Amino acid sequence: MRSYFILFSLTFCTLFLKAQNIIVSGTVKDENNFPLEYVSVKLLKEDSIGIVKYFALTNREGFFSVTISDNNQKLWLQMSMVGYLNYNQPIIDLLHYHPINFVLKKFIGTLPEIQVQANSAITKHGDTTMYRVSAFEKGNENNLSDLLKKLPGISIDEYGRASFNGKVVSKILLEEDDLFGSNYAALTNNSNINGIERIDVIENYKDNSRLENVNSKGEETVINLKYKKKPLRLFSNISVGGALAANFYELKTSNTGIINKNKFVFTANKNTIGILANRLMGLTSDVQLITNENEKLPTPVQLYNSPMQFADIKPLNISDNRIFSNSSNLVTLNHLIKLNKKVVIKLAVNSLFDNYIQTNSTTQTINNPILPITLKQNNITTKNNTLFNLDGEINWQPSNTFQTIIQFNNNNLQLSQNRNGQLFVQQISQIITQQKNQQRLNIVSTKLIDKSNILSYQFVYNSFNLGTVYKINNPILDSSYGVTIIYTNLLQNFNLPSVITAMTAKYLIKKKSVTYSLNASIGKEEINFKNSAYLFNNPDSLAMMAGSYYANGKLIIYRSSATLSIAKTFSDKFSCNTNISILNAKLTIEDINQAHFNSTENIFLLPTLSLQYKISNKKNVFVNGLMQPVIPTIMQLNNSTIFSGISSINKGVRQFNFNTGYSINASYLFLDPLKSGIIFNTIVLISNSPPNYINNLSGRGLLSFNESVVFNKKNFFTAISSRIEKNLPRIKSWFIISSAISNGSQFMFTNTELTTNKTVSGLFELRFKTNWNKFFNINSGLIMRNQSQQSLINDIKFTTFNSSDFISNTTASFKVTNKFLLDIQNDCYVNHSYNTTKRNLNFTDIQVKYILSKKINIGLLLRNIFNQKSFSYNEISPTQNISNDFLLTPFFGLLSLQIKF
Amino acid sequence: MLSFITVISQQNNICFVKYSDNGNNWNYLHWYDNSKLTFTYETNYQVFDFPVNIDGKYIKTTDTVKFKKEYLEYKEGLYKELGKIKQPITQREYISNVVKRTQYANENKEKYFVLDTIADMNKWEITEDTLSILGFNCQKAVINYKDIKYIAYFTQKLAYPAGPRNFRGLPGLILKVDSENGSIGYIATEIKFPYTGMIPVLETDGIPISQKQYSIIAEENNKKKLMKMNNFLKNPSIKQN
Repeated sequence: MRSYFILFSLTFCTLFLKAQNIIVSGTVKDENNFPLEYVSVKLLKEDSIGIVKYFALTNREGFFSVTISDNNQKLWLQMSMVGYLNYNQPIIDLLHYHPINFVLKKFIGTLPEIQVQANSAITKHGDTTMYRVSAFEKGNENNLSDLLKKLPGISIDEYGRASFNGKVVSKILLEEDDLFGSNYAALTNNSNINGIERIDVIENYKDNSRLENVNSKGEETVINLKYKKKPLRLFSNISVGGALAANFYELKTSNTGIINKNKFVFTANKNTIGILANRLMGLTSDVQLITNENEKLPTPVQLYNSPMQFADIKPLNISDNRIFSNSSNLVTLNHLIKLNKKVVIKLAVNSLFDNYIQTNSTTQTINNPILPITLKQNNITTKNNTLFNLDGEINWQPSNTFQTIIQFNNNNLQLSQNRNGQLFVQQISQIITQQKNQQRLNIVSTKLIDKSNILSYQFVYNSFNLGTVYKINNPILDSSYGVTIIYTNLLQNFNLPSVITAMTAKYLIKKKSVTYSLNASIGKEEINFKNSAYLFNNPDSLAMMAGSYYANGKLIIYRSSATLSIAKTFSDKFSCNTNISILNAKLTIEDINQAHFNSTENIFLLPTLSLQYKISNKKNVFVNGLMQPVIPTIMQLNNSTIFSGISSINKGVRQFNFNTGYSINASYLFLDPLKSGIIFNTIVLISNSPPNYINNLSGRGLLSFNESVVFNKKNFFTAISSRIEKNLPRIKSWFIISSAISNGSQFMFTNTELTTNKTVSGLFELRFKTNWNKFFNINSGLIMRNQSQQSLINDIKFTTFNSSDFISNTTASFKVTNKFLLDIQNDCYVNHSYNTTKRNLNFTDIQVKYILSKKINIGLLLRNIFNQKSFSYNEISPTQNISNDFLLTPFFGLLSLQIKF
Repeated sequence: MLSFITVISQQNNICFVKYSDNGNNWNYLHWYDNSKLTFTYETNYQVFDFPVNIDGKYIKTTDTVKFKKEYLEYKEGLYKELGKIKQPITQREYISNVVKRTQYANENKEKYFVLDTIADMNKWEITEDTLSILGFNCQKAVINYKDIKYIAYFTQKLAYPAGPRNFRGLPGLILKVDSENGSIGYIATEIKFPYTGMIPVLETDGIPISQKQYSIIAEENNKKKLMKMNNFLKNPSIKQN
């Protein structure tokens, strides 16, 4: 009986305890000990951003009481009141909770602005500007880039890279996840807009998937794509198009999937309508590799270009599809898998193939009074380029305080290019074959010691190999370069394998509003280079050319640096970030051929300062100043000579020239798309590191000579650019005015002669975009560009070049009926350069779309309807006349079927 | 147009929210600060049909394209009539059940200061369902209030324990609320924070009365207004003072 009683009592007590409600109560006061009423007291599920499970409001005495029925839960206590900072704490032991007095601290500063309107095309939440796609979409968009161009404040360049009010967009996210890194052109140029509901531009974005950013301030500007909610979130588009007569076709597909823990984008494009795969991928040239430029590396990783290349010549910078005949394939896959809460895997696979041809001819008449010479050169350049890229990332975060990220990157580029033509009466054949390989491993480990202390470690290994062979038959006779007529062929080999190993350790500590970070890094780059030129009549009898055509050497660069960074937030309006870095760079060059050995070392002191002043929610001012080391490149350090084409030679200068470059920029940004409708930025830049080195050219006989110039402290470059975009709500339009002026002076020595290049360029653009109605809209722009360059040798004027361009492009979009869309696009180019005839080019394209159903469209593209087949212009000077002719892509019509699902 | 005394908001934590009702005839303008809310109304009256004079006869039409001029004139006249009416301004402290209201009647000739006490609204049941409204992630709560079930969605991001009109008592601003049968419903259509414009002021110098007493006065006035509206509809050419 007694045992039954004890058992019953125990059971009753257990049941009583289980059924017993727990009361969480307390008092909330401000910092002056006054009770606060109407404070929202919430008990949230699991963490401080979770769902509300229980709540109460404080009364006049600041007292609250919440009754919890289930004491087996993990809850967070959160208190909120407008004008005060949120209070958050986990409730660890619910059973033994005691009433506490809480103090809420007042929020000092400007609260983030919110302006939201239902069905509004644009809304603004703090740093996020949101665009409702249905308000801008017209049905004639071929890719995401076409849609982004219609959004106020966003610009897209010819490579598919975006900027927002003067700030470069560093990444495009797929519902908060980054699949592309800096290579998002694959998305903007190839992906259809099917399924996208909203586009958010987020300024001051912080990548929270990286633990090392936990105490950092957000500084990036990103675009986030939001897709429609459907049971199966797979958005696909297939288009098949062929020309009515001729070999033009285009097959393309884009597929975006957001399914459970997977996000992926798969695109493919196969075409012969002039759209190069490398351009679709956003690469600026056919020799560029695919790397994620958003990754910060301990030392700069150089991916060298070969000095022997056939550059794509595009007069007046017209687009590829006007001038190249091609067969291109592109396949891209970007995939993100959230395996579980601890592991996220990303994979990117890109495969590019371009086969394209350019046809041009040049007639050069040299006005020699004794013996005038006419060189007639007809060229057909054929390129076969294959690039395979594989990128992967494993993000392993076993706990809230530790994370390791492993990234690997592999590029394999193969080029096989030839340029065949005629020079004098001889057939000329030039061949370049090139292989470029790159593999990189990057490991970042971060340990969060506590909320204010972070330790991170990074290791990078990069292996790069470049091998180029250049062959030309019938070389030009030129005694100054030792090219004799006995031999009828020239062969050049250039090899540049390099290995970089680097590591960095970083310690970060945050105290109140100041973040200190100490960074130490070391790195070694070892580059072996070989360059050799041979003359021969048959491949079995190669005779190495004498002189500086042969080089075999090794360059080793050791870098070690220590950086102290201090970031302080003075108020919500003003913040400052300063770095001071000491870099020791040691260069060792070993010239194996000539048994030379040189070593030099330099210590750089490199300060950096960044200031941000937030005048208001709409106005911001940024000032940045930095100093950066200028370390001579391999092409500058060796003095070997390289043939880089039928009429040009490159030569190194063998100068050990360490320098420090500086760059200062200041910008003012104004963003108010909703009220005043103005988006404005102005940026001033001063630097002694010009963006592009202008090579010195001097004609020597029939070959022109380029030197790999070294940096000069006297170089000076300034640029001012402004852009204003204004909404005109009465006429439902936006107009844009941009201007940019730059001025540069570049000084260099060539064979002890001081050469100066001075350039001035100005650009003015006026654009008008309408959003009148769904039936008719215009996007029209006029660009005026002026460049002038003057070269002096020992202060005596040597060459002058002036060029003015007027480019207009207008697209008129019609919706004739609900099913019939028509776009007429006209691009007009007018160029007037010094000593050339005025050049005009006019292209008109028509795009027609017939909507059969929600999922099926029929398209007709008529490109170059006035069938402009060739383009000619002349360059006239006292010493020579050059006449140029380019073959253009003729008119074609492409009929396509598009299916989306 | 809001034709009453206003002050310029000098504080930086006032939130302005515009709600529309399910019938879309009225906009409810709310201003929330740390301790109280102030709200008023503006008409959003939709004109569906209107009279046009064809061959001396007035007939009702919905063709706003063919009779665009007549449509615009009619709408302007109607809105002018409606705009002359001063809308009431209501104020309530968040935790209080006492509602204070400046009320105009009899074509704005009479001004009343109405005091009303409303029933408690504190038995909300929170669920874990969420909904996005105007970009805010909102959580669902349900209450049985005066025998009617209401479903509301509130956001924690705006920590005002209030909502449209007298809906209140949740740990965040209510952006949408509907009765189960759909007869009553409000949804936020515009939010501005911090609000730096004009805010209506509650005038307390009117005739003090209770809500019950005012209801009787209002009923009589409504009958008069309705008669006037019907006259205007029958003969819109008559100029209204």
